[in-house]
Amino acid sequence: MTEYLDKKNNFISVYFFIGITILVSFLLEIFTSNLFDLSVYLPVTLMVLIYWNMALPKDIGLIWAMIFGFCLDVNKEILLGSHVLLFLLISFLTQRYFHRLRALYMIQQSLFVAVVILIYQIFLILFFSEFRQSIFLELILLTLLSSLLWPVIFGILRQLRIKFVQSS
Amino acid sequence: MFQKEHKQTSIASNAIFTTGSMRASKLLPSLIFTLIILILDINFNVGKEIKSVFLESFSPISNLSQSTADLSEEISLFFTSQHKLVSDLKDKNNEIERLNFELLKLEQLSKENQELLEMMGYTKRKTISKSVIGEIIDMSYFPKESISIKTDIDEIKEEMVAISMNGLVGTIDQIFPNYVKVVPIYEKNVNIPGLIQRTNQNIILEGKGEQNKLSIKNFKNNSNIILDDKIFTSGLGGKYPKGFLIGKVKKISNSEDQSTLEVEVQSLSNFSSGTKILFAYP
Repeated sequence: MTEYLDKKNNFISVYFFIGITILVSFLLEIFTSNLFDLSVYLPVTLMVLIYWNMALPKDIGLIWAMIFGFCLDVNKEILLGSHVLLFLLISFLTQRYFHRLRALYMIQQSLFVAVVILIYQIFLILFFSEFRQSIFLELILLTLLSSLLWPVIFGILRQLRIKFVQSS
Repeated sequence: MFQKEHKQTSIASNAIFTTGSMRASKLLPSLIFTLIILILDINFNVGKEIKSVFLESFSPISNLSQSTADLSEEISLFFTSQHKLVSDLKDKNNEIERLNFELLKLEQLSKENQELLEMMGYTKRKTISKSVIGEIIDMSYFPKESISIKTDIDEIKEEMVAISMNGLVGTIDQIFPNYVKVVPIYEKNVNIPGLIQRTNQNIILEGKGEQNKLSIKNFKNNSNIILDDKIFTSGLGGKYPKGFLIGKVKKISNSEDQSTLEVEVQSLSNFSSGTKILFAYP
């Protein structure tokens, strides 16, 4: 009952554990985006970032959002800072309203994530993608997939957090 | 109930309800920093170098996903009737690629043959007694225009002239142990005995040192010459073979003392074209 009071790890390890999970999700995102020839891709990094912003808003800060935002900009060969801007705004919103988001049912959280991802993808398509007819279908399917994937990501990261991390 | 004793304040500070929401002011520095980077990248393309380094370091992951996609395609095709068709198509495409390459090689060979044939046509002339073939290995434009030709040096003599598929193009300037340096006929101070085809008048042409420009030396102002008159080599003096087209009259004007005409002849040969040069005795 009081396990949250017994600190298992110090702040540094929590901080880097978050970094490692985002790094893994980033590598997964690169891998999946190269696997299919699509204009949009599954934003696993963003979803992991949303999770940590909701779960440990005090620990995550904005640094990881910036680092992996830049990494994604470079990898997607688009303007430096475009992913970072989106990541920062989404992180801010999630950290701002994390109390309310935590209180939501899983299905409501999935809807929230789907809306965020939809806006994020639309922004990237409008500014940085070549327009194709199939883009609408890709957008809808990947948003749907992301909302379905959210409970899985949430569950995995929650288990990892309970097992390895104690918030500062 | 509690395994460890904790003060009320400690419990309260760790409880999620006490974690404050993020303030907008915390976001501002990161936002400003990002905007600066964005503007720098738009205006000065600062990310170009970073992007190339990053892409190179992450290429194994990209390649891995590519090979995974290839593998899954192979597996799915293996269990379908299309497999044989696709593999046949692949073989045919490879064959087409190989044949295209062969075709390119043959085209190159045919071009070379044509060039050689045209040059060897000159050797059928009675005026050309002996010839040696050479290959252009270098071109230089400074301090003067010249081409270096690799050939059988033992057979080369200084009095030989250089003939390309365009006709007479130059004279031997220097002979080196492995190659010969040839200067164009329009090189300064190169004198060529010529013949105006229309009037059969013998003249001496002199190179002006400018590309494809020659002039007629000491040409009297009462001589019969018009624009576009064709000038051929006369073969006089035995330095150049007879009957090669040198060029056409491009400009006629009076000299300062009005006693002679200044005639500019435009050479029609392209000095540095082709790959082979034939050296021949006049």
